[in-house]
Amino acid sequence: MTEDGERGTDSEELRTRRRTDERGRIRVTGFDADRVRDRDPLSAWSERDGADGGTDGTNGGADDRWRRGLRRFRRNRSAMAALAVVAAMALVSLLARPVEVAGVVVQPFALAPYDPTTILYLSVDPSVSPYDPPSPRFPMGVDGAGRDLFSRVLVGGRYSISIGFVVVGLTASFGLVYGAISGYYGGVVDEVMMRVVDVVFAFPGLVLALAVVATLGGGYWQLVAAFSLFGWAGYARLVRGEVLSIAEREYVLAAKVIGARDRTVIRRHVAPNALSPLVVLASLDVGSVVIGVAALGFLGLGMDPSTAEWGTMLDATRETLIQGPGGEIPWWATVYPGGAIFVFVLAMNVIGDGVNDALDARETGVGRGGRGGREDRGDGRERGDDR
Amino acid sequence: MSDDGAGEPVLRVEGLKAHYDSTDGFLDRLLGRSRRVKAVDGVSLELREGETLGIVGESGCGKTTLARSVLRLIEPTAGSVYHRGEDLTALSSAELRDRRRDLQYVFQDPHSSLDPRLTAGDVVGEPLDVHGLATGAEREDRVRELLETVGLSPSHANRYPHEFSGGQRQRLGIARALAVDPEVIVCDEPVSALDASVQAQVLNLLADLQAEFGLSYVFIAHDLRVIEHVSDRVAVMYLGEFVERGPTEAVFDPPYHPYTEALLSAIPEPDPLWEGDGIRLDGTVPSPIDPPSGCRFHTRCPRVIPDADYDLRPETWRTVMDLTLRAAEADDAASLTAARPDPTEAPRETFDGLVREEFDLPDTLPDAAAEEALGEAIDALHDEGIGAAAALLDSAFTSPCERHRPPEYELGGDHGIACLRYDDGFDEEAGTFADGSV
Repeated sequence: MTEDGERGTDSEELRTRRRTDERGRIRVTGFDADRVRDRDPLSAWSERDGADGGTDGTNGGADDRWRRGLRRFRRNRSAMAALAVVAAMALVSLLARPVEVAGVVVQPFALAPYDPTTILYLSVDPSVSPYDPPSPRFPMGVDGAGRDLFSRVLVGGRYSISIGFVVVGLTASFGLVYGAISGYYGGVVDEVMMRVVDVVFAFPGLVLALAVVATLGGGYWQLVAAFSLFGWAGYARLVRGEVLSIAEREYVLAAKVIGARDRTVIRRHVAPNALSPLVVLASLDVGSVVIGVAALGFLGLGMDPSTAEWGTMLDATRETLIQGPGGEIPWWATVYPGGAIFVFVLAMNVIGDGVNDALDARETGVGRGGRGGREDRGDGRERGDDR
Repeated sequence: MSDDGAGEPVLRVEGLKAHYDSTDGFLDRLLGRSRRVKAVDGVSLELREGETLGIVGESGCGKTTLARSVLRLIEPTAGSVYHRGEDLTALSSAELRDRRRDLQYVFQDPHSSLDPRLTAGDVVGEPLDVHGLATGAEREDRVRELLETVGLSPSHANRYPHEFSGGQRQRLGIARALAVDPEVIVCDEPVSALDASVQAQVLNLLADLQAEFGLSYVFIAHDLRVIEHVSDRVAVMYLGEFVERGPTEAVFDPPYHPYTEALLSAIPEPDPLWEGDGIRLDGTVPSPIDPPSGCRFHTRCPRVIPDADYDLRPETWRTVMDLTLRAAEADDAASLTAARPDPTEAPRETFDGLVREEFDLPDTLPDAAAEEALGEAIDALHDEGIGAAAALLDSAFTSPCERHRPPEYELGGDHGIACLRYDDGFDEEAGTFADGSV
């Protein structure tokens, strides 16, 4: 850098100035804050900019993620079809027989032609015999006790479907709270709470449920208890992993700065942000609970043997799988209830996969196969958003 | 800004220490192999009403930990923080939550410090809910007022954080801090994540708010220009300690602590004719797990005091010190020499040259005694290995800075520097203190 010479266009001042080791000789103008504020006023900001910022993945807001997920789910045709199937099955089972609450009919429709417990040859038509094949009058045939299978399959959905959602609702909420507390407090609390989860995991789930039902006896709420007792552990572990990373975020610290109590921080900031992997796992879990209930029913440990529950219905006709009366196999007695279970669980799994894709597995921490969250609780920490 | 007659400062920190346990794993804990990271190690400061105290230092020197432990977001290991005469470290958590109405914090990263699920209005309104300051329509009004105060449009209350720019988010963070009407705001690098032009806006906003609400700031930054702009007083931090503090002008003008001097020389200067010599600090900040003995800066200090036994120029002494320090940490002779797979294979003369080349040492040190000691050490390195050489170097070359931990020396006008060079009683020629001790 020469002091004078080639650059004849330099200002007089620059050419005459001496080299210096004193700072601050040059005052650059045009960068004072007032002018900058004038040039880029706040009103120049438009919603467009904000939306762009949200979709580039570096700082996508949670709200945006849910909305985007919904959009993606709607585009997923198989998931939408499965959703329609589940909705239809739920609706049909609800409308199958009238529902009375405290003597008042709240649901007057009756799609099922007969009461599911009515023994046809006793009260309706003496000519009906057990294991009558499907006919226009009894579209799914008659079961071994002479009851209309069509009516039983329709009404049976009430138990099977509702138990899946009730169990998942209970376990997921408990797991969310449990995991959030464990992950948020960390240290000894975390250590103790996670060892409890390990104990629960040490029991094979179905065997534990079996033991519970064997002790408490069969019945709807007993089944709910049996499945809830071990079901929450997976959610707890998943949420805890997620919360470990959320608790490190500065907005959690910021909430403490303003003087929020721990439970406010967990309720308002920690738990809601851990929700999306939970939703994925829950949607995949409904199906497995229904299968589990059906399995217990098939083992004769679910509901009362005469109840119209899909698994129990299979159990009641178990012997016909080998050979029915007269050397003929009454396939309708097993195919229809079994098919109902199959269709429902398949639909639920497709929905679960759809939710997983919609909420982006990489972001939510639940890997493929739905159980990723259980086996691999660390996944949640790999998410790279918000940084 | 020094004496406003109020006497009691708003915030007084005494001997604050924040140590982390970085012991990893159950086994280490079981065997008692604990490793304490001394992130903040004995810091005292005073913050007066309406004043801005700037705290500056390199990355990793403990600034953020200091800021957080002052507000007990990290539990301090030792020391006290007095706010209006009451010790914060002795408060119960309920009392502390109450106290947060007076003490607030602005975060460095405006992206991660706002919950993505809350709207701007909720972010700003949350402190009101937590402390029950306002509800219903009153809350609504207060939120709008706060948004306006920080230069955001009240109509943005329903927007989510990701719909704002970085500067706007930082304004939101400031509005959240203001919501409880605090006395003190600790700003942890509030502008370092922002563009230069937005930095200026936010700094001006902070200054306006200070004038309007009589706030006191503890302002943390690594950017000296920002610190100079906003601070009434400055404290320079190195490895968990303050090395210099005083009014801004005093700190930014000589006499300097050598560390401050190095930081100041690193400020970019737009003047093309500027010829100030930039002081380069080599290496990174040493590990706070095991901080250097004596003056913590002696491992990198360009003005480290030479051993009184030798007559060496400061630069030469610095390189000899570098050799000594590296030898103490190195595993083998190869890391002390210019590139060579196994330098001990080389003949003694070549090897000597390689070591000197690596550290830019002259072929012969000007001081005979020093040259002899260095020669011996290089011999040991060549024949016996690193351990023997390190021991020889360590015993031969010791700076007074290694042995003495400098207290803070008052230079008048509330200006203090923690450096042995400013001890009037210390004789550099003889290497002794006034009372004759070494």
